[in-house]
This record gives sequence, C-alpha cells and structure tokens, in this order.
Amino acid sequence: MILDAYISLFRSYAKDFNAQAPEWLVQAREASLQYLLRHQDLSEADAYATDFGLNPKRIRPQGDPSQLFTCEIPGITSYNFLVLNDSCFAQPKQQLPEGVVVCALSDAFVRYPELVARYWGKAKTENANWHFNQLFAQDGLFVYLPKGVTLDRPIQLVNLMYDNQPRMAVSHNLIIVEDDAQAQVLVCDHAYGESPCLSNRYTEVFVGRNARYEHYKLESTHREMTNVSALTLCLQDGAEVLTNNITLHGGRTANDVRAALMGEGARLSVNGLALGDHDQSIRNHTCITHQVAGSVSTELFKYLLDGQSQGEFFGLVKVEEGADRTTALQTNRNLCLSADARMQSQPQLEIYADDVQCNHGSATGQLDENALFYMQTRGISEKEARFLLMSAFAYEVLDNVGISAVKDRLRWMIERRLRGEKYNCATCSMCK
Amino acid sequence: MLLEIKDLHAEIEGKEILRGINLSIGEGEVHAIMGPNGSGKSTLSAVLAGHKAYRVTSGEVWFKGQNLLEMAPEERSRAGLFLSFQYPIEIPGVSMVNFMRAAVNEHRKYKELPALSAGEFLKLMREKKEIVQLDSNLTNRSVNEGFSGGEKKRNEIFQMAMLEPSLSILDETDSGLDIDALRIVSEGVNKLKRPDNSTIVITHYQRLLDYIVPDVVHVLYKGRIVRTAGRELVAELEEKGYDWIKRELGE
Ligand SMILES: Nc1ncnc2c1ncn2[C@@H]1O[C@H](COP(=O)(O)OP(=O)(O)OP(=O)(O)O)[C@@H](O)[C@H]1O
Ligand SMILES: [Mg+2]
Repeated sequence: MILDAYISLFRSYAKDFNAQAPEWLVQAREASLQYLLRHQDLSEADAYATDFGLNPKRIRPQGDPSQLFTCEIPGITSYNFLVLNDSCFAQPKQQLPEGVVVCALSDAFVRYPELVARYWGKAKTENANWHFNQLFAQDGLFVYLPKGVTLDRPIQLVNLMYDNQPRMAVSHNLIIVEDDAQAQVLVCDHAYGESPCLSNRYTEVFVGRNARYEHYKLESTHREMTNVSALTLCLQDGAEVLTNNITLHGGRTANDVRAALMGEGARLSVNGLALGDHDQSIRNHTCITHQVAGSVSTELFKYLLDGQSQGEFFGLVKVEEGADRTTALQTNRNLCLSADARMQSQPQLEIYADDVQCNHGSATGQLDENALFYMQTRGISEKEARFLLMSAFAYEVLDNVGISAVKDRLRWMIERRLRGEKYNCATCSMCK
Repeated sequence: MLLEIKDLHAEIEGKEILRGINLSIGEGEVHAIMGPNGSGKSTLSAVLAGHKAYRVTSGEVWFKGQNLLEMAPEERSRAGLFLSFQYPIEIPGVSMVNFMRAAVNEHRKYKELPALSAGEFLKLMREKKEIVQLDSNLTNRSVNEGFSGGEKKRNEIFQMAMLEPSLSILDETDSGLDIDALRIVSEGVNKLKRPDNSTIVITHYQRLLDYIVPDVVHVLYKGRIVRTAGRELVAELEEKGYDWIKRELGE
C-alpha cells in the first residue's frame, strides 16, 4: 500500500515525531495511524509513492533561514513568517498588538496548550489527508486574535520547499479569530530546487461572531512539486470570510476548501484562479455547508489552461435542513487555450431547506475569435489581443482580493505569467 | 490608386458570396456601396479587413501598393485600413482605455514613433471623444459591453478618430443611430476627412449620404457590383428600390 512506508517510518520515529506533541495529540495520532491503515482516501495519492524524505528529528538548516527567502510585496508591510519545509520560523520585526499571538505551532503546544487543544481538529474533515497531516505535522503557524482586535497589517506566511533531495513537508496552521476581531493572512507557497517534493499542509480557521477574516494563498512553485493544501473554516454568527487561492506555477496542485457556515448571517466568499500549462494539474475542491438560516456564500473559480494542463473544479454546496433563506451562488468559468488542455467541472448542489436562493453555473470554452479579430482590426497583434482577453478573464478573480498592494502585485505576476515572461517576488533572493 | 480590387471571389463554409468584385478607390474619394440584404456588403468588408473565416478563392486586392490579402488583419490596420463594424463586438473585461492604448501604440510603433505617455494618451482620448461627442462614461467601461446600438456605432467612429486611417469602411454606421446622433456622427466623419483619405460608406438609406456625400455610388448584388454611377443614383434607389436593377439584369 502506498502509505506503508510512511506508517512504518512513523512507527520507527514515533518518539521524535511526538517529541513536542501534547498527550492528547499523541493519542489522536494513534487513531490516525489506525485510520490510515484502513483508508487511503488521499488527494494526489500516487504522489506519495515516491520515497520522500521526512525530517522526524526536525534538524534545522544552518544559518538564519529567514534570510534565505524573503517574499516581500511592494507597498505593504506585514508580519512575516516562514515555514521552511516543515518548521516554522517566526520572527516578525514588528511588535504585535496587545493580546495577539502569532507564533510557531510547536511553541503554541507549550505556551498555549489549552487554546490549541480547544480548537485542534474541530474543523477537520475525516479523511486521509487530515490523518496523514495529524500524524506528521509537527509545526506550522499559530494565530490567535482575542475579541475585538483588528490586526493592523496582514500576516504573511511563506511556505518554502527547500531541498535537493526528494522531500516531503507536512505542516499545520491553526488560526483563531475571536468575536469582532479582524485579520488578513497571505500564504505564499514557493519551492526551490529541482527534485520532486510533496507538501501536505492543513489550515484550520475559526472565525467568531461578527469577526472578519481574509485568506489568500498564492502558489508559485515548480513542476516537480505536489502541493496538497486544505483550508477549513468555521464561521459563527455574522462572520465574514473571504478566501482566494491563486495558482500561477506548480506541478500538481490540490486545494481543498471546506467551510461550515454555522452562524446566522455569516457571509463567505470563496475564490480561485488557476493558470496551467505544460502538464500541470490543478484541482480545486470546495465544500460549503450552510447549517443555519440566513447565511450567504458566493464562489468564483476560473481556470486558464494551456499546453497539456489539466484542471478540475469540484464544488459542493450543501444547504442543511433549517438553513432557510440561504443564498449560495457558485460560478466556474474556464478557458482552454490549447487543444490538449483538459477541464473537468463538477458543480453540485444539495438543498434540504426552504426559501433558498441557490445557483450554479459552469462554462468551459476558448478565447472568443470574434473579439480577437475585432482587436486585430484595430492594429493589435494577435498575441497582444490574446493577452488582453486572457488577462481580462483572470483579473476578474482579483476583484476578490481585499489588500490593494497584493492585488497590484498579483496583477503584475499574472501579466508576466501570461506573457510567458519570468518574474520573481520583488526581493526574492532565490528565483533570480 | 489607394485601393484596387480585381475580380475578387470569396466564400464562407463552401458558399461563394463574392463573385467577382472589381473596385478602384482613389485618394480622397468617398464611395457608397448600396445593395439588398445579403448581397455581400459586409462580406466584402470582412474580407478586406482580413477575417479568416472567409476564404478568398481568386482575385487580388492592392492597398497602397501592398498586397492586402497577404497581410494579417493587424498589419492592414497599421497600414491605414479601418473597418467600422456593422455589429461591433463586445469584449467583457477589456477596458476601452487599455484597448485603445494598445491599438494606438501599435500604430505608433509601426510608424516608428514612441509610445504615448499615460497623460498624452488620455489627452488624445479626450480630444477624439469630442469629435463624436462620446459619453466619457463609455470609455471607462469594457469595450462595447452593454453599450446601446447607437453607442456602439459612435464608439466605432471614435476609434476611427483615434487611429486616423487612410481608408475607412463604414458598414451601416447609420443603423441604430437616432436622428441627432446620425448628424453628430456624420459630422464627426466629415471632420476626419482629409484630402488624401478615402471612405467606403455602406448603407441602405439616403439620409446618411446627405451628410457624407459620395463621389461614386455602387450597387452590390449577389456578390457583384452591378451598377456604378454618381451620387444621383442614391435618390433613384431611394425612390424606386432595387427591382428595376434586378429587371435590367434579366431577373
Ligand atoms: N458565417 C456565415 N455562414 C454562412 N453564410 C454566411 C456567413 N456569413 C455571411 N453569410 C451569407 O453571406 C451572404 C452575404 O452576407 P453579408 O452579411 O455580406 O450581406 P450584406 O450585404 O452585408 O447584408 P445586410 O444588408 O443585411 O447587412 C448572406 O447570404 C449571408 O447569409
Ligand atoms: Mg451587412
């Protein structure tokens, strides 16, 4: 079985993997082991067949890792954190507001054991991704915003894969935004090197009453990367959440967004943009559950696929019994730029409530030939006309980015990407 | 000659639409092309502009001494050909400003002129909008998206003003325009007139030709030019329709 090697690896190094884990987690991992022996419902399962190295003893790289990679975005300052493979290096230069905690999860196990225990796994989906993550994740980012606090600037988390051997990295982020608090988190997935790598990253987010939370994830890795990410969200009454997953470069990408609208008047906007070429594969799976009356969700996912790339959108919206007056709108639009690009779209609605306004639309097509001709008759080259159409298509998703400096940067990166030009992240010291 | 069309045949989806067009247009001339629905007027425009759905099966087209049929649509535009579409295309998400800036700068590059700065470009847009009194809100929107029929036509002539072509083909620019707009847009076209640029006006009605006065009038019928005369032909067609021409052709 695919996971056998990892299960025996865990058994041999259980002491190391559990070194920092609280007792309840040690026990939970036992349950995860049992789960994985029985089920293997993993995303990108066959990618696990590679013999990836893990880092049970959490051997730290030499030097100061935060100097290794800075992913600065012009025009904003943020609280910066780095997860290098599997370990979090948390050294924000700025002082955090009173009561706010942002630190490595491994530290939070020790310093905030009750908080971690109270929330851990409460937003999980029972599947092999979760259990694999629970088994191996030793670190990640921990964020806690007490009631009523607004974070004055975004938190930026860079997930960096860095090795010249086949390498797997597992990390877990736990984000708690209490009632009336507000935070923005920007996650940048990058990879350095040429060897195959796999990441399994799980982010659990709890958003309290009338709290606001924005979560952006940008992937710009490489073709040898398999990037499996899960984002789970719990929204209480009046909570407002915006997420946007942008995949610019990668090998195999699997993003899973699962949200439970548990409170009345909660509002959720889930978005994604995928630019694929070569033999890239990009999956976005979403599952939105409306559990109580009067909540709203909107979804917009767009794919631009070139080469032999493959896209997949699977979106489930579930309106549970009693969740009357739910509004749920789901849109998936895709452009296949080459004959070999493939898109699979599967919207799904399950409604068990009354008086709901639910809608989904999915369309896959090509660039509009008439629009191209029209532009050409104005002197615009075919290449430029194609670029204008592609970028117009892509930029719509950026309307759902609430940090203007990030939006500008993304526009710039998308433009470069669509023009087939190289780009790097401003002061990035790696992708020169 | 600015434009010379010799025995042009073209088909779409295996159906021959243009069946031997001969037409010569000199510098500074205004030619009107009239003719019943479906006779091939828009097809001729599309073929001249380089639409790839149409296949030219024989004939030649020379524009300023260049073999037009060998040029890509964008090259034809840069060389000075402009088509005002009968049905302008909507391009959601592409702003009028970005679209026009791309077009103007491509034309400038072709003429070996430097690209306009943002300020210069906006100034040029303002000036040209005046010519057809184009509502400023329209240029802040996506190209033609949600424009009314008349607004789309006005926008075509605005683009013509921006690009200053030497040969403009106006395909039913009058359709969709209200009475005032027709006057404003025609006056705009006249303001853009120079002694060396030429216009092909495709229309069904005399009213447009009262403003944009043709030197020569052609009747296109079943893919051929079956009659060519002076501007007096317009009034005759307005009065009698096409039946007499069809009769003369033995139909
Ligand atoms: N894509 C196409 N496929 C098949 N036939 C076409 C296509 N485009 C045009 N035609 C046919 O070619 C003929 C000429 O059409 P065209 O649009 O050139 O006419 P027109 O003279 O401009 O007419 P109108 O005065 O109505 O604008 C018509 O019979 C039309 O149906
Ligand atoms: Mg026509």
